[in-house]
Amino acid sequence: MMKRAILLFIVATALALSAGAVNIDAINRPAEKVFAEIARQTGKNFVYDAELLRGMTVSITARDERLESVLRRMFAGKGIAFEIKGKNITLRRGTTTPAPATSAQTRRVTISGFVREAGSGETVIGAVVSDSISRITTATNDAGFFSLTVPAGRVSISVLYPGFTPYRQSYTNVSSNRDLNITMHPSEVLQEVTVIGDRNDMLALDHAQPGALNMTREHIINTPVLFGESDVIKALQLEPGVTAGIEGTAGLNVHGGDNDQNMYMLDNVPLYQVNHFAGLFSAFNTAAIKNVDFYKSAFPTAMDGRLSSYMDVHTIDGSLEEHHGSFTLGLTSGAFDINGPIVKGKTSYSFALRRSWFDILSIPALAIANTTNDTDHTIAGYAFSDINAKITHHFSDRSRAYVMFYYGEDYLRAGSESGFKEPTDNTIDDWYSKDVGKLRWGNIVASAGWTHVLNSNIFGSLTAAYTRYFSSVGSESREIVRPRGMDISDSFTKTRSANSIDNWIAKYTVDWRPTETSTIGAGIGATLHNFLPSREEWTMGATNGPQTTVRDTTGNYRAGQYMAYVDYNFTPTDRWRFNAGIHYTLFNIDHKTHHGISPRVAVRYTPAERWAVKASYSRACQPVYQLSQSLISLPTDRWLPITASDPMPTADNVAFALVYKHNAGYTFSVEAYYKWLHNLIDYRDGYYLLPPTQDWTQSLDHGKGRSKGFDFKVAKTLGNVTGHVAYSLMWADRQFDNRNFGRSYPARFDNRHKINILANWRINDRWELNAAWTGMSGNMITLSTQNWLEPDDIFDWSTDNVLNTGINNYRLPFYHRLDLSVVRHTKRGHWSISLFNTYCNWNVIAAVRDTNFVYGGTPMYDSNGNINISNTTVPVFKSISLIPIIPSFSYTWIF
Amino acid sequence: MDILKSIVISLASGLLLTGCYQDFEPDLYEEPVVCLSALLKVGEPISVQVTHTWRYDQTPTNIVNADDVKIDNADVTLIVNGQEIEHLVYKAAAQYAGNYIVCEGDSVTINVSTSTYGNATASVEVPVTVPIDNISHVVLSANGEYILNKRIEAAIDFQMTFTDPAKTQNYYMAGLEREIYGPAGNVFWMSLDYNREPLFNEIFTPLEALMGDTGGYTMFTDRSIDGQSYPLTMATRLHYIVNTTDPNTEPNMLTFKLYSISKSYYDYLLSVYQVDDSFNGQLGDFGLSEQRHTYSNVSTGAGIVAACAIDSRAVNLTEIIQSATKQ
Repeated sequence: MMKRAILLFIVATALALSAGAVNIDAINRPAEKVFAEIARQTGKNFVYDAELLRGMTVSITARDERLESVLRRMFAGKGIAFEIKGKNITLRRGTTTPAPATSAQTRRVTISGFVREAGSGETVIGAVVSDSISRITTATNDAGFFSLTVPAGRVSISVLYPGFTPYRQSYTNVSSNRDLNITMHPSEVLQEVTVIGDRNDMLALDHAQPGALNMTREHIINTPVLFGESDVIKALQLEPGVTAGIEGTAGLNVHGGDNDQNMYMLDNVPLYQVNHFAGLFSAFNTAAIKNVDFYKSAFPTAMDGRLSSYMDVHTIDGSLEEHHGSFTLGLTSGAFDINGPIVKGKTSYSFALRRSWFDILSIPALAIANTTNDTDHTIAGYAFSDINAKITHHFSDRSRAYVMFYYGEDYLRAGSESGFKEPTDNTIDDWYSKDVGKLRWGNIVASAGWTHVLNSNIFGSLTAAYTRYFSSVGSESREIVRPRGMDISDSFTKTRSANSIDNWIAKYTVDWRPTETSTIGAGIGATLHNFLPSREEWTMGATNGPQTTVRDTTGNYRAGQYMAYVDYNFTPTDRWRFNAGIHYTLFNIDHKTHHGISPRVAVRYTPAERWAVKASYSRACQPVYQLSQSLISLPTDRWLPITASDPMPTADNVAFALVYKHNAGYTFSVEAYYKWLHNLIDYRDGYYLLPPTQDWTQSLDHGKGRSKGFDFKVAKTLGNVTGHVAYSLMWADRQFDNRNFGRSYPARFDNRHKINILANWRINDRWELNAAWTGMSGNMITLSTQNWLEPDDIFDWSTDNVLNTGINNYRLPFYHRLDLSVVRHTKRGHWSISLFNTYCNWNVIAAVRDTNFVYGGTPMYDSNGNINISNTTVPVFKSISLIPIIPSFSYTWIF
Repeated sequence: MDILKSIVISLASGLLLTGCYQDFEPDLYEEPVVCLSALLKVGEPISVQVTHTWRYDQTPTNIVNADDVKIDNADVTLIVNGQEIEHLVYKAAAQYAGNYIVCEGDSVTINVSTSTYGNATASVEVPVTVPIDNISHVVLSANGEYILNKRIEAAIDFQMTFTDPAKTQNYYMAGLEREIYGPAGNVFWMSLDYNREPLFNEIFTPLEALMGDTGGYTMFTDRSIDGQSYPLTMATRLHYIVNTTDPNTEPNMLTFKLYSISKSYYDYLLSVYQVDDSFNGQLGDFGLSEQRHTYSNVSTGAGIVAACAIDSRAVNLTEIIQSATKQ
């Protein structure tokens, strides 16, 4: 299969490279049609005044002839001159063909500024800005800023962004640098087909790095998911090369990587805990999201610290002109968001709040259950919530500052209450006890940033941030005993175990466009980490008397992480683009300094217009990792740093990609990747036999991994029906000296095949239908069919002894499901009705050993002739399926 | 905290969403191997159990006896302190017996060779006996009178004091044997409060203490008491029914035992807890955690060869109860 895919890749590449010479056979055909054919074959565009060719017909025959030669023959004697420059063939009246101008002969000017939405003034990230004369193209950065260096003279600026009316403005005689702030107006209809029409086209066809993706809020909302809760991570799970882990959860396994190898960032600040409700929901509230950048193969040089992927969520700034907001009520949660100006045209705010309903919905059920018993009451409650808030101030068109705050938390409380809290009478023994356990985990991010244009070619960004991950497990017990006629004993015990990370971050980055063909990015930064792998605290004593508190602080690690990077983009011709960069990480812990040097190289070749061939090499390093004993997100998961004795975990990633964009709005892409993972850290076999007080590093082992595969994708981005079909062929394995007897084994999420079909049908202005089908090879799990017998007198009771025959040795059945959602737009908002797992396929997420109880067995006759039929249990394996069809609905009121 | 545990597991496993279980037969076929198990006790002759592993559906019920999986034609060789001592002889129910009496400090290796299931080998260091220095007790409460046909409820903390040998890594297990029906017909029920002894809880993380089933495990190490004399608390809760007050009848006795156990024995017991009762072990029952395995020190991965040396002391419970209830 691999060989076939490589062959396909080579053939497609050869086809693309063969484009260039012209084959044409035309007799008295309209000139426009001949031009269109030549353009199709060569990738060139014809630029001319329509009046020039009005009524003109052309007769010409050519076989593998050079373009220039064909044009000379075609226009001979017609009074038309041509000029081939880059991808453009410019036609004008005349009799001679002027020599092409060289860049050295042409003076350059820089046009720079910001792109903003009309009405709100919100900056537009990733808008494609181009000069249609010189065909020089760029995209707005995270602050909505662009800088375009073009030949002086006539300039025709166009700006494209999905969902907005294209912006076009021509300037006849631009002789000096110019500031240009552009306002874009929302559009209901995608109006035209262009080679590079949106941020993803830009990433696919223009950028050198393969495997990059941009996702807008609309795209996230239009992806049907469990409980109808739109979710950026679940939308990304539909991309090729990305698997979800356990069904229904917001896991992300990218190109065979582990969940902790993904860098999640909120406005460029790392976020450690990205899940709610054991992973069923992600921590990103869609209402607060502007758009998302995702990189799975070649990573931008500015980013390092994780081995498999990078996701940067950009939050909205808020409207500078008027207040907007919405309420959403769903089955599982409610959300509210509002944004608007504080000072019109200068300062804006945005605020989004989301909270789950589970605890509120469970109140009546608990109340009913507790009324059936006078003395025993159950205490239970679960809730998750998150808050996003941001204030942005524009000092000028060239200078902007913001402060951002995020708080996300899960809280689980459960326990029991027994007995009588108030004394009954003094004639009987009286007692009361209450046991409550509490789990709490989440993330805090506070950041401030200042972005400014130093001059028309240089953009600077300063960020200072604090991010904190926390989790705690605690219990409270109280016991009151009132023996008859005796003194009351009232005591309590309180325990708490906490794990946290605190990061203080500062960094400064610049983007510099020194010439028309070059851009340079550079940055420096520092992060101070404070890791608390575990802190235990016990308090005991009388409720109203002496109390003893014992605190045990162990393994409090401080670390300094410093980085510097330089990134160079060079576009010598329209056909070639090179990107090279290096990211240096210095990680200092326990008086030991680890060095991480991450070179990044990428090249893009355009053999013909609408085609791109790419190759890249990326190295990444990861000084912080997560240890998890379960396969779901729980507060027991711990984020830890590498220590003085650990080598730096790294990954080397090589990727090749071929992209073709059809003019009907289809984009075809195939990507091949191979990734080597080094110095991975995981639990060693039998780690659970080490005592909890033992140094936690003793339970770990170092190993390596490998993943490889192909991602195929056909995406349609224009028209009423949009979506994609994607297929991935993947392999991923791991090898540790002290796991699986030192043998290599498949990674847990070594899903060999994965197919995703996503379709969004905008039926009319009121109705939208969205469908997503996922099919993939099952996850790998550990199963053993062999049992062994223990000696009779070694333990008081028997236990199941399962022979350890290897890790991840069994593949679960093929996984597939269809999710649907319908959106009905109203004047003031929209209804969303969704079906998760529409045809109710019971997908297997795990398999376990169990027993079946069998009623009746072999009839036995006792000495009296009575029949005894014994019941028995038989050993079996059981597959576990979790999620049937789940309908849900929500209503969003927009104001 | 059972409620918390069950809620967390339910949330985690998604069973709130109407999970579905179905029987299936995995298409995995693994070869059976030799299983070698033995508990060597100081002062007793050696006995070894030799069986083979079996496929989970090979037996008609969940209950498997040694005879069901015995290997009765194996060559079992005993090597002590590097010298081959004897070939053990098959007796019955998968047991092979020898004449060698196990001694403290022995380094024992057992080799098994079979014609069908291959070979197996395992080694163990026999620990030295650590004597119990004394048994003391504190009566926390005693409600009731020692008169005929009355019930007494008592809370008594027993302290089993011993001195840990210094500079060696030692593993222990505490035991308490009692006969429910005393010779004189007095009856008592007793439970142990394992939380009262810190050493019994050293294997539990705070999460496990909150979520796992932590009762019933009395193995511990000398990590925190190395070379020290230590009073091990065995907190008892008693219901004692007085059926006779005749002073000449035999009293009810409690026998306290201190097992010095091999590391393999300790690891085996700890793995049983991790598999059966720990929080993550229970998550594994739902397929949401990596499977945990019972510890084996046998080359095939099947079986456990452990060793122990035991010291014991008996105390007169009847006397303690009588004394505690005197007005």
